[in-house]
Amino acid sequence: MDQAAVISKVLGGDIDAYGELVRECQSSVRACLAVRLHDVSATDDIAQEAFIIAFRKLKEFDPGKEFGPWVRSIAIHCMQNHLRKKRPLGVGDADLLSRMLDAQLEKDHPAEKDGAGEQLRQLSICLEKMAPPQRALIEKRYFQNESIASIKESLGLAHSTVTMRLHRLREELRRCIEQRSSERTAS
Amino acid sequence: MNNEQASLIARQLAGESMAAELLEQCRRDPAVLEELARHVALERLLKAGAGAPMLAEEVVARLKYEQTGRPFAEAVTNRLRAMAGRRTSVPRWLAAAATLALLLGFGWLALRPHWIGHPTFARIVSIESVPCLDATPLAVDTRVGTRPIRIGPGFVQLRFDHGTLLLVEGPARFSLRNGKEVRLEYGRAVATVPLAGHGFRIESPAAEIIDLGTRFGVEVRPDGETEVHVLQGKVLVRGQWELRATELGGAEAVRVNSREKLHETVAADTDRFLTELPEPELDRPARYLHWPFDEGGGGVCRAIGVGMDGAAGTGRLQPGLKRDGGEADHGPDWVPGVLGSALFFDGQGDHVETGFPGIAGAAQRTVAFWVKAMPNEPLGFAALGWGTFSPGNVWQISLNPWAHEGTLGGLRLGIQPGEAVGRKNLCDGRWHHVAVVMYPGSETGEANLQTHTLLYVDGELEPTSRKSFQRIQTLTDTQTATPLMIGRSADSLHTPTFRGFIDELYVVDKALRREEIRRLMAGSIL
Repeated sequence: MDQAAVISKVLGGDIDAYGELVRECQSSVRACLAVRLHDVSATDDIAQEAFIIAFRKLKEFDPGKEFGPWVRSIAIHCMQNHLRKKRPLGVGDADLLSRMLDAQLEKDHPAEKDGAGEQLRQLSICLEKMAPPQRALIEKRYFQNESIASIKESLGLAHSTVTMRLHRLREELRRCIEQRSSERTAS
Repeated sequence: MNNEQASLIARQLAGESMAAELLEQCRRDPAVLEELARHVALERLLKAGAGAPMLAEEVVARLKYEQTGRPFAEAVTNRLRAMAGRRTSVPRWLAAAATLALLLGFGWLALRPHWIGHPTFARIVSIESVPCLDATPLAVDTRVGTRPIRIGPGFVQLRFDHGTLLLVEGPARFSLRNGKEVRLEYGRAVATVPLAGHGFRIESPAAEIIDLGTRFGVEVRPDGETEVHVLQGKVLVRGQWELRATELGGAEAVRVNSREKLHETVAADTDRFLTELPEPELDRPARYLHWPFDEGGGGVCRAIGVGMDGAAGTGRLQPGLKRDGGEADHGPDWVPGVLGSALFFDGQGDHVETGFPGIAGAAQRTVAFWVKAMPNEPLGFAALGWGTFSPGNVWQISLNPWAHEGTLGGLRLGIQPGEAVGRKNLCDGRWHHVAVVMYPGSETGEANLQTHTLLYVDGELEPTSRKSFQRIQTLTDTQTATPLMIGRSADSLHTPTFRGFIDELYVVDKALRREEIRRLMAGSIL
C-alpha cells in the first residue's frame, strides 16, 4: 500500500480511504495493545479510540514516516489513560508479579517494532496447522472462554492434565510462530 | 526451565494463584520471568485474535457519524422552533432520518455477522434507553454470542436458549462465554433461571456465582468489587481466590473483594434491582389522551382521545386565590408554546381541572409533556397529578421543590410518601421534554416506585438521585380521589402550586419505550 497516497486522500476528505489504512495497521495495533493489557477484552475499544484520535491528528503526521509506529504510540497512550482510570492500585505478591511482567512485556514488544503484530498474523496460520483435538482445546479455552473446570468436565480429564496440555500447546504454537517468522526474515 | 517452574507458569495461567512462588523463582532465575512473559503474551494474543475484527468498518462508520450526526434533542428543538403550525403526520425529515438510521443499522448487522457471535447463545428481548457505546447497534431479536457488549445507562434483557432471563442494567460491560456462563466486568444484572438453566454462572473480576435454581442480582463496581443478592432460591458464591464456594439463600447477600480477599455478609437489598423489563407489546396500540393546549384563549382546553374518552379530559382553567383570600380574575395564561400555544401557571393557585380520573392501580402508564420553569423561582408540589392523597395512592409529577429529597428542580414522581427524583435541574428557563414511565406490576399485581418506574428528560433516560421503595396503588375511585389536575397537587389548593409553562401533555395507558417517547417529543403521534 502506498501509505502517503492514501493519507493524502484522507486529508482530502475521503473517510473510506482511512478504512484502508486501518485495515493495514489494525493487527499490529491490536497486538501491541493485547500483549500489554490484563483485560484483553478492552483491546478493540482502545484500538478504535486510537484510530479515531489518529484521524483527528492526521495533519500532524509526517508522511515521510511509517503510519504503523505512530498509531501504535497513540494506542499505547490511550491504553495508559484507560489503565489510569480502571486499574486499582494494589499491593502484595500478585501486583508485584504483575508489574514485573508488564516491564518484561514492554521490553519484549517495543512499540516502534511490530513484533506482536507479526506474532498475531502468524498465529492464525499456526493454529490451522495444529491437529484438530489440540486446536479444539485451544478454541475452547481462548475463543469460547471456557473455564478449566468446564473443560476438564467435558473432556473427562484431571485439572492438572488440562493445565499442562494447554501449557504445551502454547509452547508448540510459539515454536511454530518463531519458525515462520525466521523463515520470512530469511527470505 | 525445569518441570517445577513450567508447572508454576501453567498453573498461574490456568487461574490459580501462584504469585508468591513465581516471584521467588523469578528472583532466583530471570529466565523464569522471560518465559512467563512469553506465555502471557501468547495467551493474550490468542484471546485478542478470537473472532474476526471489523475494526476498520467501525472506525469509518463512527467518523462518518461524527461528521453528519448531531445530538437528537438539539435537532428536535431546532426543528420544532421552525415549525409554523401543528403537524399530525411524521415530519418528512424525521421519517428520512429514521429510514437512514434503519438502513445503517441493517447495514451494520450485514457487515458484521461475527458481532452476533458464532455460535450464539441468547436473544435480546428488550432494550430500554441504551446508548450505543460500541458503534454497534443493539436491537430486539438480535442473537448474541461471545463478543463483549458495553452499554451506557439503560437496560438490556436477554433470554438464553435454555430459558434463563438476564436483565443487565448499565453502565455495564459483559460478555457471554457460552450458553450458561456470563462474564460481567461491571454493572448490574439480574438472572432469573428456570430448571433447565441450573448451573448458570455469572463471573465478575472478584467472584463466581453459580445458580442452584433461583433469581439473583449481581452488582459489580468498576473496581471489580461484587455484591450478590439472592431474590429467590439459592446460589453458590466463590471469591476468585477461594477454592470453595459458600451457599447463599433467599434474602441473603454478600460482598466480595478479591484485592482485599474479603467475602463478607451484607444486608440484603433486593429492591435495588429491576428484575424484569416487559417485552415490547408490539401488537398492542397505545390508548391515550393528548392535551395540545392550542386553543390560544378561553377558559377551556380540550383533550384528543385515542382509545380513551376525550370528553372526560376536557379541562377548565381555574384561577387561584389572591393573597388576601379573594379570587384572582383569571386562571392560567395562554402563551406561545413548543408547538402552537401553551399554558403558564403563576404558582398562585392557577390550575386546570379535568374530568379524567387517571390511570388506576398498578396499571402501566406514561405521562409525557413539555415543561419550562425559571431559575430561582419558588417551585410548587405538582405540575400535574391524580388519585387519592394517601400513601402510595396518589400519582404526582413535579419539579422537585425540596433539596433534602434530591436535586432541586429535578423531574419528580411522588406517590406520597415516596418519590423518584431526577438528577438534572430543569429550572433553567428552557423547554424540556419530560416523561414518567411505569411498567406493569408483577404477577401478584404489585408495582414499586423503585423497580417499576423510569424517568426521561429530553428523550434520554434520567438517572435518579433518589428512588424510594414504595408500592404504587393509585386510587381513582375513592370519595377523596381527585381527577387529573394540571398545575396543582391532589391534596389541597392551598399548598404552593406549580409555577411554569406546560405544553403537549400526553397520558398513555402503556409503558412507552424511549423511541416512542422521542416520537412524542418530535411532535408525532404514537
